Amino acid sequence: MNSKTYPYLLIAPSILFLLAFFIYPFIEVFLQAFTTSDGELGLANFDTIFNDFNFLPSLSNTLILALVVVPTQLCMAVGMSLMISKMKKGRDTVLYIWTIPLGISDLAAGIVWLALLDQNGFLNSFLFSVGIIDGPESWLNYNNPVAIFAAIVFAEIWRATAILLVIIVSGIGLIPKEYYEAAEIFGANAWVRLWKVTLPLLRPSLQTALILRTLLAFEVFAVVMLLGGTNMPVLMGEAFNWAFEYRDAGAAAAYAVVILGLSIVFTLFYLKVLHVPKEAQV
Amino acid sequence: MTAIAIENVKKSFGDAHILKSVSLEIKHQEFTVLLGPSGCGKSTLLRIIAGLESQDTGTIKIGDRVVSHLPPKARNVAMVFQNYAVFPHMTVFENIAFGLRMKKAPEAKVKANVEKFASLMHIDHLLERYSGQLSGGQRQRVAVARALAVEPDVLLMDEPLSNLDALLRLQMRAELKSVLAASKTTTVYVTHDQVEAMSLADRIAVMNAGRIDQYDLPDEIYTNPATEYVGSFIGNPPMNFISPEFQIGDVPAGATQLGIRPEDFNVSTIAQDNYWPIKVLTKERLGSHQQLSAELNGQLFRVNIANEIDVESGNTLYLQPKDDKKRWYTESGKIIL
Amino acid sequence: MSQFEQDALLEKEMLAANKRKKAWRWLFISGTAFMVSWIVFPIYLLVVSALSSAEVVNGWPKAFVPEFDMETMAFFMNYYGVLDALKNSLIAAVFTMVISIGLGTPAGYALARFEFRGKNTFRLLILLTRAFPMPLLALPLAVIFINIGLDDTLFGLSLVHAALALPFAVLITSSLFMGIPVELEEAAWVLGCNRWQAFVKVVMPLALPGLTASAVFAFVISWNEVFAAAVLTINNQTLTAFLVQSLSSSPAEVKFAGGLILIVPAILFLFVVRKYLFSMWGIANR
Repeated sequence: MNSKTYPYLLIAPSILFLLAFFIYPFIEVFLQAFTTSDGELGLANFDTIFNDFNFLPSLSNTLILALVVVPTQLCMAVGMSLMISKMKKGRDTVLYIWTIPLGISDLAAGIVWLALLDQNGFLNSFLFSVGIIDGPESWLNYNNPVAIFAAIVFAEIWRATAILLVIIVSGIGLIPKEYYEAAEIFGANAWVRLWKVTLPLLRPSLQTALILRTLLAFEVFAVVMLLGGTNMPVLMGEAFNWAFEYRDAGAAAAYAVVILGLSIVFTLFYLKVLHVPKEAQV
Repeated sequence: MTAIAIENVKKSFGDAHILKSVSLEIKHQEFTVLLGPSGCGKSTLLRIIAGLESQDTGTIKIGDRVVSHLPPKARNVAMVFQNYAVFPHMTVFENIAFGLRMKKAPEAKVKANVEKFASLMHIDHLLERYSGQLSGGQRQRVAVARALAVEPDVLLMDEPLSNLDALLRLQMRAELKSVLAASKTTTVYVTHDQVEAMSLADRIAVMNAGRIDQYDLPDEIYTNPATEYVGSFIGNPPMNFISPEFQIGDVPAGATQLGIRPEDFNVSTIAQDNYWPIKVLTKERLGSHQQLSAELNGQLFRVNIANEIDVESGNTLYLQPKDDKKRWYTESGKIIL
Repeated sequence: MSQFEQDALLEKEMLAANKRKKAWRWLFISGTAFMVSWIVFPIYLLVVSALSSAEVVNGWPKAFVPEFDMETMAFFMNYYGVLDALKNSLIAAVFTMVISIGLGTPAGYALARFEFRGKNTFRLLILLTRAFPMPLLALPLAVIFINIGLDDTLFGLSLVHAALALPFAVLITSSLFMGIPVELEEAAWVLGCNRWQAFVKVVMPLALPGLTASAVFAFVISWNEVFAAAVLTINNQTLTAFLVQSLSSSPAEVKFAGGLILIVPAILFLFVVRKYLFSMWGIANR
């Protein structure tokens, strides 16, 4: 056998698999979204979801959630990464603990925070024991959309900062120490070094991190269902409801197209804004 | 007797012609060094002999067998790599035994050979260690023992000493020389270090941009460089090449350049007939001699002179090439014999 | 200014600098401790909930120390459908692991060891999968699976999960193989191995810890995935699908115990792969 054919034989299974389970469903989701119930091309499915009273709230909830959560997490992750890079003793242990949420699904995260914020939960128990409230009080109900939103924000920040942390820590690890030493010799203090050395050189990592994290924010679903129930619709939850509760694959596909569209717009946005020419990378 | 015959081997990677029709006959039990700068194709040629790369055209014979299209395992060669490639998950013993085990040699033979070559390379006390517990020099020894243990027809070595520090390199060089002389294995050795080549080789092939410029005994390579390139690659500082307008005396037909080694000048501090008055630019004292760089009308001269001659930069010195040391080269850089 | 005054000033300055340094150090340590407890404390409270009696779980106010009562866990295990869901989650995760590592390892090896036409296109395809919310693709696949009889099967679900995990498997294994010097393989070839033997005898033993880590990673991707699991399984629900679909109907014990069961593998997983976490993402930066 010719050694030129080896690589193709080796990647063929992956390619076939991705064709079948990535490219094909990807095309299919568009076909389903743009096909009406009587099998013709059309926008009927989009009519359905745009006219649904949950569409606009779910769109704005998803976007606002992403806009609040992602920048907060980015700042936290950069801060935590800098702390990690300064640590000597216990670095590995701290890093391990900080990245535990990486393996926790949004469902499990929702349950964790439910235990905390539930009517009978730990927060209320604590508030009761210090005398702020007199008995179980329900925060997470429809009278209290701000509380629901805040709870989801906390749960999301708790769960998904780790992914940014890992990417940024490894990005910082790629920056040679000499750059900092050079900057320090020329009189740059820690703050200047952060803005003039670390962050600019970190741009490729920040880009990866932001793309991944923003897409995950658009996929938020189980944690919202747990903490907000039906009081706070989000896009992914609506897609799930249309597929599962209302058995309307076309409308669900239309939601999927909306989410995909948002993802593409944001990915392109990050690629453009944080673009670093190859020659200028570490 | 011929051990390896390479005929018209060509190799390109994309547009880069790494080997442009190379032919070479390596004699049985000889130690051949492929010498050249990086990118000249010497490593590629070695890897083609090993079967790690395939030639575009041409044939390779080892002994009487055409091995051109055989995989490495069928060629009965062994190889020592620049980074040693000692398997990190095996003990030194298992590393040395690896090739024999692949050939399904009987256990007694495996044990005997491992012990023999381990003691030859002075690593018999390290047999139970792992590569991570060895120094660079010890790893190098394991790599050589592993290669010799399979008793190959041909031993191939790809810059095996270049990752060692200077002192260790010198010591290993001497040791390799004696071990390989004793084992009488046909060896092809790649290096860019001319001192290494001169000291180890029975025969040197000097490579230049995908061709072999000269294949000869080390002394011949030094005293009669076949091309201008060989003259300027071998020797430190390299041979002087002096253009026609400076020539004194008879110039053979077709000759355009005079090649002369820095140590092969008659030197005078006073003006004489048929001597070039050169202006000394820099002087370096090297202990055994002084090394000058000098100039005459834009022609650069490199000269080694005895310590006793008293000269400073800016002085004028008078030079004459020794008659029996003159070598003449054609326009295209070939020697005229 | 006298010498004495100057010395006193200098001393004062040094003391101040020392103080500042100490203050920073204190701030740093307490900041670290705060962030550690921010992560750990909620998990701890979940453990407290899951290891309490039903009475306490639904009672008020809550205690902040666990009783180590197995009632809630036992209730969860006996709750209708839970054991099946747990088993299904395990099966789907194992399938996912096998498929993604089985397909991803050869591709990772090809990326690490060969230059070939289309290599960059393939790399792009792999990276592209991460620029899309993959679980969404479960929606069209739900329809397709009905047509080919894979609907409501764990195999069908693990195919979708494997599509999620495969790109990671390819990237992780290729960085893994790149870290193994090609000369080790070449040495094996020269010493009498063919490509396969060299792979098995030399590359595999060296890559095994990393391969294990990426297999565990694939396992956890499947184990944690909610959306596709909920869309694609009806009778053969995984644990995540089960929990999501019975959110409104199931008692608190089931949620908390289920949450704990979901989290335990995550914590173990990170312990296993902690060494590889960074090489995984380091190369993903490119």
